[in-house]
Amino acid sequence: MKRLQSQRGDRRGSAAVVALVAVTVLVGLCGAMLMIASRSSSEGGSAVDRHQATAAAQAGLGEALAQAAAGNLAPIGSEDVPVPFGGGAYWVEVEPAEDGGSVLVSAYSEVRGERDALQALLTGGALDIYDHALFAGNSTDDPLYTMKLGGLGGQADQVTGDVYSGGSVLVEGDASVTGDIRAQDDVTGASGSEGVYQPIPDIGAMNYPTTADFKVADLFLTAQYKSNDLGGKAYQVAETSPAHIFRKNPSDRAANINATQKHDYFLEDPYEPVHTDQGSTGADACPITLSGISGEPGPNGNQKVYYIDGNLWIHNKSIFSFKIDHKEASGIQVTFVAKGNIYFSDNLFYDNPQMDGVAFIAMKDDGVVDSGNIYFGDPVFGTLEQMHAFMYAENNFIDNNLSATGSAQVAVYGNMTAGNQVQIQRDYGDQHSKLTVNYDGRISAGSLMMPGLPRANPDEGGQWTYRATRRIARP
Amino acid sequence: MKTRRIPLPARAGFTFVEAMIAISLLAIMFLAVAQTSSRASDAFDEGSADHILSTSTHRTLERMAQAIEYSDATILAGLGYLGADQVTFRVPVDFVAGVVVSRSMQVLAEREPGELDDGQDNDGDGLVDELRVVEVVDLNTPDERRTVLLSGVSELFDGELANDADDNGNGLIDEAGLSFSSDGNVVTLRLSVQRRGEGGRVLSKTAETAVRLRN
Repeated sequence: MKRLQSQRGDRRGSAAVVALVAVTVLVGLCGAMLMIASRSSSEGGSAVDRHQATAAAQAGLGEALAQAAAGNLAPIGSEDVPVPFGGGAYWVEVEPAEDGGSVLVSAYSEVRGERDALQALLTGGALDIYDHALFAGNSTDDPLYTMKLGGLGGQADQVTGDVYSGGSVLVEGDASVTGDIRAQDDVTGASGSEGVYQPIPDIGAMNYPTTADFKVADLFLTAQYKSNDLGGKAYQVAETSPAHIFRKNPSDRAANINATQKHDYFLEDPYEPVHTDQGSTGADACPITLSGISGEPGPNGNQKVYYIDGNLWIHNKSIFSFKIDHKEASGIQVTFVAKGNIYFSDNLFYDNPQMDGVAFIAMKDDGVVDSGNIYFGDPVFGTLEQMHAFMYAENNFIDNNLSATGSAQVAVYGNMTAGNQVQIQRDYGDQHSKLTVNYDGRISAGSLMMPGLPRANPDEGGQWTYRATRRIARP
Repeated sequence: MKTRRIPLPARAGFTFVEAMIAISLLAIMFLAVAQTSSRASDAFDEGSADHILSTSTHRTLERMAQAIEYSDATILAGLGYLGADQVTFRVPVDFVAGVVVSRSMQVLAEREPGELDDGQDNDGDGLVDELRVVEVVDLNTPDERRTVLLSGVSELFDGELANDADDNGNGLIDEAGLSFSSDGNVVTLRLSVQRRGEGGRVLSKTAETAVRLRN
């Protein structure tokens, strides 16, 4: 192939170079402008997303606070399953604060990669222990703790009133709860609210050793060791003493008292005639009379707190039932606080069920491992069938009726509460002894004024109180 | 491969006139490109400066709004419709054992160092009597910390003149480039900022936001 070859030499123009430079400059400028526009747009978009993330977190917090106001403070969504909101999502976590009487509500949000987190402090507590038929605060944070109710047919447990567990709740068999069930963990076998936190009372803040009206152990410094129809020989004080309603370390119950570490005080009145109430109906309950009322000698023992540095027993070998006997139109209201354990083996009835109130508080003794517990039931003699009282154990409430000779059924009129666990152990082989709890709402309603009760929220009127919100680190 | 030579006419170069015309045209083209490039560069610089000013203004306003949103009600003291060029308040920083732990804060506009309130550009930055936004944390404590959030704040808010009148119609009289006012528990923040851009032109940016107090 032939090719023409120019003989004009290298006479190329500069226009191409100029055009190239111009195009390069223009492209560069356009690129820079685009970059500015892009950054500006991105900045604007991020600002909008940040605001939306804040709005989402505020929405989550608002939702949780609204639930708290309704008495149902619980987590909303989770990091894995957040609640969709405004093009993003949020979730809310609820955790007890260090003081145990307040909670931290943390709301986290994310909108297109922008995150925000807000935290609110609530104090008080939506509900108190006296708003519940059964209450277990799970103060030891035992992840395995489950409050169990069970039984079949006529022997199935029945609870009328609200139930709270700081762990889980298991309702199995034919057991039933007529009331709300709330738990920090799982509710199984019945409908209920999960993830709910309830504070527990601060027993230490009550300072019972100082504030109690009667220090029973001190009053027993003048006690004499005497025999009585109630059984054996025991330390007793004069009838004029408010502490005369106790007998200390009775000899006929040596097996009981030898098994405990501290002194043992038995609630029984050596100055009243012995009644046994064999039918456990309360019709023939053994009377206990308080000093200073209804014609009894001594200082007024009504509307008082009795503090016992030792164990407290409601247990007599020949008596089935006790009651605090009186003629007071406004009833009697007394609180017994034991720094040790409380053992219930016999029945306790109210003389006037509409007006009377008796509360038992078992508080821990730092020097005694087995303390702050309520042992409820008599697996040996099986004579506990009815208990009319409000009962709180700072440690555990152990409902113990294991053996075949235990009561076939036990009914509580009041409540069973514990700072840690309520352990209901009512199965033995294929048998189940029935637990009936009929919640007494008079304290909650304000119609029964008990002296010296520990409250989880003494000032808040049963409602969570919003304190403040702060921004926290984004997750 | 064979090539065939084609003879050309005897025109070996440009004439002087042709060369001069070409050079002139090229010079004009280079000049035009250079001028365009320069203008575009200036526009880019100004755009950048405007963008930076806008971003920093909004970020400062957002930071102040975030701090104020969770303040307690003490911030409302001294505010109201009349407004103020500074706010002092407390914000929760921690919750310990059910108790709110707060920190005192102040946000204010103060004269920039080297600048006097004399209607002159004392520090030679092209701005007159300008202010700056300062955030003070742990106010009046040994741990007090001051942070300059933004400089170049206008002495007066956009549209306002120092004449004891509400020139810009926002309800405030002679308000500073940074001002706060409240209506109930809603606090309004206003910010006017200036910068001298490339070529000595003064850029201005004004922003305004309102926050409802949460605590």
